[in-house]
Amino acid sequence: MVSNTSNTYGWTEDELIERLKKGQEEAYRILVREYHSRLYSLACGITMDREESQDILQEVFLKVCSNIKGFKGKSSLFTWLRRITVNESLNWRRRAKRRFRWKHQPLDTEGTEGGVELERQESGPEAMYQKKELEKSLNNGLNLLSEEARTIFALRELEGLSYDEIAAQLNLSKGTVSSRLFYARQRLKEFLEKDQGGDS
Amino acid sequence: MKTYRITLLFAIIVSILIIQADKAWSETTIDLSVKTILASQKPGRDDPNLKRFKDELKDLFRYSSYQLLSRDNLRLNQKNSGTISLPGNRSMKITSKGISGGRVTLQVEMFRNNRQIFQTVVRLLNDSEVTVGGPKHEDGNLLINIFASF
Amino acid sequence: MQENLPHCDSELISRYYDGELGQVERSQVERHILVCPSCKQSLEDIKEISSQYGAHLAHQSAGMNTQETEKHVLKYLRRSEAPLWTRIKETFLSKKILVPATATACVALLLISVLRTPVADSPSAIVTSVSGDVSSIIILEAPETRQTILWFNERPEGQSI
Repeated sequence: MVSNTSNTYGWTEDELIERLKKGQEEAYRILVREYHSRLYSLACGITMDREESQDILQEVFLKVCSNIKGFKGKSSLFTWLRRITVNESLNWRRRAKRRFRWKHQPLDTEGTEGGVELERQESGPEAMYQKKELEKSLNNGLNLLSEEARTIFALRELEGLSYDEIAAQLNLSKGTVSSRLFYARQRLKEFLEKDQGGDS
Repeated sequence: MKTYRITLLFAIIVSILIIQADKAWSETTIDLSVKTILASQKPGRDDPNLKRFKDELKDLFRYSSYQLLSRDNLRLNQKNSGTISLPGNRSMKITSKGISGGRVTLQVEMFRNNRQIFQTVVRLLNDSEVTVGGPKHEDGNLLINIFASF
Repeated sequence: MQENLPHCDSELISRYYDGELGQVERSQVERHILVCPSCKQSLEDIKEISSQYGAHLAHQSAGMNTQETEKHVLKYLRRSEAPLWTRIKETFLSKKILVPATATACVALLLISVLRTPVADSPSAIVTSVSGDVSSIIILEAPETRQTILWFNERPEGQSI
């Protein structure tokens, strides 16, 4: 079940896979450029940590390097990548690699690179401030969810997977997926309402 | 996590190897050099080779001369023994009992007329010596100096 | 066939939003929403969270470094293409090996020193037992060299030659 649509560089997926198996650098460059962003968002959705997600992404692509020869094409390339990303994200904490990291860069609505927090933009318009506040509380709300709930939420909201697909990926029952999603939405709603206080 | 596991594995393997090596080492041979020395007040009998020995003991004994009567070399493996004969119908039997913690355990027995008159078990450092003494002989006393190397 | 929903069910709304309902249930919910403000609100809330979430994560892409990943991947790729001995050399010098190796070396040294080195400045022989049919036994130690000396006095018997 392999897609035959051309990607940006004119190769079909089959062609890309073949070149990846041969170890062609250009193919890997394309792979990274093509899928990095989407997989990064997914990793962030699960781990809520930018730096971790960056590391996870690197690991994901390294895994592609070492395992591509055994890729049989039963699923699409991206499905495979996504599965690897989810597994790596869920397993990352369990490994002690975090222990050696100096700075923990949690997701937040400001600060884009390095470990240095950028100064909050001074008195933006009301809307911008409200938006940032909203994002912050969403962030906090997400942090309070379990990693599993976050994963389900990310797979549903970011990737649009069906309950069945999510259940298969995470080895859960469909009913569990449904209730976790529902619960996550409830929690996030409560959190947003609470933080907004008496606001409209 | 993987790094820790590898480290632990390495450490365990190496520790086992070292402990085994240490055990194996205790099965090495022990070279003993046994000097039978007559210490007496009789002048003019000093053996220049025993000068160090004499100096060492000058605070303990008042002998004026030390004479080397005989020198025997024994080579022992774990748990076997060697016997040297001493003047006056005496003999000394030394048995190795193994090496541990950098010391060799030796059982030293002194016989006279085939009867054990003295025994001791000592733990001797490598490349070092112990002296057993006392039996009267001629006009002095016998000192048996045991130097072990392993 | 029931035309309307028997009661409000928020989880049903959630599943409806995710497109997980069969045709029948879907129609029921759609009809229900038209007349039930609270369920309608639930749906709006879910949509709102969805859009916030999407925007939020899009914003996180600022922390992403595609070039670094690319570099990393290519380095790995090139390394695995390198000749065997280069790879072996690099493996041994990598942190993965150096850290455990160093740690093990430390453990080994510690173990060796414990097993091998007796206490410094100790007597040449440690006497663990001594006995004899003798009149007295003295244990001495030479002052500077710490050589152990065992001295005994034989019982007077037999003749000295």
